[in-house]
Amino acid sequence: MSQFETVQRIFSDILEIPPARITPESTPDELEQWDSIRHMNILLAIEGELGIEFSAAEIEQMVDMPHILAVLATKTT
Amino acid sequence: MDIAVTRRFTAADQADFARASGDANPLHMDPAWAAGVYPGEVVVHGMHAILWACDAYFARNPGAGLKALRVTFDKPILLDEDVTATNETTPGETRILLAVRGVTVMKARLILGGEAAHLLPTLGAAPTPAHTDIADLQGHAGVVTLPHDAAALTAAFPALTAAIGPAPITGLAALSTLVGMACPGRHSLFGGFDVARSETGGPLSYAVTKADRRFNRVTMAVEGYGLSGTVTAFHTAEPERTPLDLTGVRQDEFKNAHPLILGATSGLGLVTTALLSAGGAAPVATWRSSPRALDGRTAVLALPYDVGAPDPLIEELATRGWPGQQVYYFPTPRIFRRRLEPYQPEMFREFTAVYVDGFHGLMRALVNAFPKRPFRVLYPSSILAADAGSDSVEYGMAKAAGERLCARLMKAYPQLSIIIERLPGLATRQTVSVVPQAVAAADTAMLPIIRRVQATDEA
Repeated sequence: MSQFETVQRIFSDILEIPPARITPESTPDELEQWDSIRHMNILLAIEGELGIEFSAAEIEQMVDMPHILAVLATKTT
Repeated sequence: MDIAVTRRFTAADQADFARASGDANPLHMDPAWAAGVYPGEVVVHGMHAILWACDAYFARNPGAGLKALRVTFDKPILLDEDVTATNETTPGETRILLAVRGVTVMKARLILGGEAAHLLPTLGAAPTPAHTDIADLQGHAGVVTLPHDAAALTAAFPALTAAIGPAPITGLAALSTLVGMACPGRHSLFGGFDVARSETGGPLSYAVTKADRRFNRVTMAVEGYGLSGTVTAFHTAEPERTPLDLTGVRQDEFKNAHPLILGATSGLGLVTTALLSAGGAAPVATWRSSPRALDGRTAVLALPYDVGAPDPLIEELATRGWPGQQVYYFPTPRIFRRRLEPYQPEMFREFTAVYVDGFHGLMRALVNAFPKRPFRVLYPSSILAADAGSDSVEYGMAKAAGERLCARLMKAYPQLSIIIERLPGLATRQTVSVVPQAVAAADTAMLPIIRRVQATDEA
C-alpha cells in the first residue's frame, strides 16, 4: 500500500466518506466533513499508523493533502 | 440493524446524570459558563449518550454480553436536540453510531460476549472539579470514586447493567467523572476511550501516560470498577492570563479622551479599556451580564448595554453630558461552534444580529443623539472576512457584511469616520477551541489601532 493509500484510508475512516473522494489534491474546502477537530484526529491517526511524530512547525504546514503528503515525504525517506 | 432509537437530553437529564456520576463540570451544568467556552452551549455528557445507546442495544439483545467498548466522541451533543442511535452488527461485535441531523457525532464499537460481573462498586463523596495545567499533567495520577448516588445508574440503564454488572457500569460513568472533574478537570473535553472488562474492583485509578501539548491532548491509563484501558481527553484552558503589557502606552497619550467601548468586559474590549485607561483616558465601558470584570478601574464609567436595544445607553450618555468622540465596537457572540453542515444559517443570523444590525442600531442612535458631533469609530473586522475557512464561513460572511454596512453608514452620516481593521486571531477566550490556534498577543496588536482611532499616532 502506498503512503497516499494509507493516508487515504485514514481520511476515509475518520471523515466517513468513500476513499475515491479523497485525492492527493484534496483540501478542507472541498470536503465538508474535514473540520478542524477531525483534521487533528487525522494527524494523530497518521502518527499512530506510521509510528512517527510531527513537530509543531510540521503541523502548522499540514493544512491540506498536498502539504500532508509533502511533510510525510520528508519524514519517511 | 437492531436499534434505531431517538431521544432528547434535557437539563433535567443532565442534573440526574451529574448527580449519579459526580460529573458536575460546568460545561454540562452552567449555561453562562458554557457560553464562554467551546462550543458555546451546555453539552450533554457524552458518556450519558453512550450508556443510553448501549442500554437500548442490550434491551434488544439481552444475552449478547459485553467484553470491551471503544468510543470516539467526534462532536458535542447539545441540549434538547434529537439524537439518533443506530447500529450494525458483525460476528462478535456491533458498531453503534449516534447522529444529530444526520451527522455522526459519536461512534462506539462493542466487542460482544462474556457475562455480567458480580463486583459491587466502591462509592464515596461527590468530587469537585479540579483546575489543572497541561504542562503539569505528564505522569499525573490519582483515583476517582463515584458518589453514593451512583447506585441510581443501575436503575437508569437496566439492560446494560444486566449485561455487564453494577461495577462496570459505574466504571463507565467514572470515565466521564475522571475527565470532567479530575483530569484534565474543569477545562476539558472527552475525546474517547477504549476499555475492556477486568477483575479489578475498587474505585477507578488513573495515570497520565502522555500529555501532548501540540494538541492539548491527554492520554490516561485507567483501571478499576471492573474495567481497564485508556482514556483520551482535551485540555481546553483559557489563554494564559499573563498581566497585560501596558509598557508601550505613553503617559497621558489618551488624556482628556472619553471613548465609548462596547463589549468591554472581556477579550479585546477589556484589553482596549485597559490600554486607554493606562494612557490617561476616562472610558465609558459597557457590559451585558455583569460589570465585574471592570471592578477596580476607577477612571472607567461602567454602563449596561443591550446590542439589540442601544437607545437606553445613548440616552444615558446624553443625560450625563458625555463628551466622547471615539467609539469601539467589540460585542460578539461565541465564534467557534459545533459544525454539522457546511453552512449553518442560525449561526449567520446570530453573527449578523451583532455585527450588522447591532452596529447599525448603535450608529443610528449615536447620530440621532449627537447630530453635530464627529465620531471616529473602530469596527473590528477579521481577516476571515476575505477568506474564511470551512470552520468559520458564517463568521466571515457576517464580518464582510458589516464592512459593507460601514461604507454605507459613512456615506449616509458624514459625521462618522469608521475605521475597519481586519484583525488576525488574537489571544482571547474566543480563540480557545479544542484545536490549538496560532494567535497573537491582544495588547500589542491593539495599541497601534487605538492610536489611529484616537488620532494620536502622529503625536
